[in-house]
Amino acid sequence: MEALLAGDDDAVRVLYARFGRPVFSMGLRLLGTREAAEELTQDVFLTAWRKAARFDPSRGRLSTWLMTIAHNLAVDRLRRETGVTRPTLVLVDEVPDAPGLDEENALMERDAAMRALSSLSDAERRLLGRAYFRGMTAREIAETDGTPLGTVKTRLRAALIKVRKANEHKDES
Amino acid sequence: MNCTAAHDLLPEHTLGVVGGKEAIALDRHLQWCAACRKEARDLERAASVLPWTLAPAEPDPDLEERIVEAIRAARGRTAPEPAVGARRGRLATVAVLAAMMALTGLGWGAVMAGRAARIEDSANEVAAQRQGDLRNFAELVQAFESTDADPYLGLLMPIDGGPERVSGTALTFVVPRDDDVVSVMLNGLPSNERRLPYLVTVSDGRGDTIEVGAIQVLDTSGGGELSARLGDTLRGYDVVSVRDARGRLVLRGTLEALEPVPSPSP
Repeated sequence: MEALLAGDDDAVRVLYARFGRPVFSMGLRLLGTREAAEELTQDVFLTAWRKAARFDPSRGRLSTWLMTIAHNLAVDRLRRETGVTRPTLVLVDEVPDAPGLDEENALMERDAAMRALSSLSDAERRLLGRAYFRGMTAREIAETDGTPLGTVKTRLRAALIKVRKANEHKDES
Repeated sequence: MNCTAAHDLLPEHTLGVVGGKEAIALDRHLQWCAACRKEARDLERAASVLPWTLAPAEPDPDLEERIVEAIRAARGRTAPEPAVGARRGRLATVAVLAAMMALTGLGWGAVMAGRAARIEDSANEVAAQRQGDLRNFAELVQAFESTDADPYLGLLMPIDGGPERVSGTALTFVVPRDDDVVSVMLNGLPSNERRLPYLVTVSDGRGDTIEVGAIQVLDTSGGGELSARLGDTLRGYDVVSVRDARGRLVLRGTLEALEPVPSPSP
């Protein structure tokens, strides 16, 4: 991170090699166009450079930190630019598996993520996807499904806790 | 915002679908509530797994070079944000404030946690007011950490002939180009109705007095808080007084400028 802070080109490239593709992929899913996803990816890495000194490895993993930045920026952009309409997105459980991730780290992350997600029921996966990738609030989901708001909130929390527990072993390692 | 409301919002916040005032209130709550902050971090770790489940899409091959170039260009224009350590001087001062409050029998952390818990337990007007006071206090600390505010601290001492166990702390920030802020935390006040509300004022050496506000309610240990933003500049106003509803002086203290203390070695 010190090298990133100094703006070292190699440090930026290492970080990009590890996280560039997942950040871009998330941008594409949330924002809907390659152009917006590339702008988002650039913003994420610029933000990471600016905030590198604030990253505290004792408080969380680098991927958590960077993906949180990426998601926050993507959601901000979604709200700012699309406000009323939401892009047509692919739900988590509708995303086809695609071969071709050549980064070992990325493969491991993806493998662990898929295992964590497999701890959820189809309904839970769909619920998380609607909030995280479509930006739907609990209230919007409740109204769409005709489910009590409290129930939706409880289910969101339960799903996140399941993912957290399934991913615990990886976090500790 | 109290812990119950924060707990309710955290999953949505983690998933990025809480906005506006709710998000601001929750962020403020997370700044001073360690328990909710821990839960937020746990949920964040879970949410950060989700992007990896997407089928990877391939960005343009030249995106990497554009990003390297953008950071190179930004490096020439702006410096990255300072490390947390650079702010340690001021944060260390906050720690000193907390310690001094503890010496007065208030105990910053305990006050915040304990009183927040009691607020959580009762959904009445009293709770609402005190919740607002705590929120103002959190805002005040936040303002202190993020601006060039000059902090002043005073221990409030009981007046002869008054209740002996009463104690208090006053904290003010003189903020350039913005409202000044005052926060007063009291403990051991008599809570009979004839004495309420307690009126807090600040005075300068020339006898000018500014009314800060009134403490309308106390908890079972006679504790109460008051935080306020004032348009007037508080520079030079260094005497804090607390009077009961009959105008009798209960507590008084003199504010002194606080200098950041050197940060401890890591």
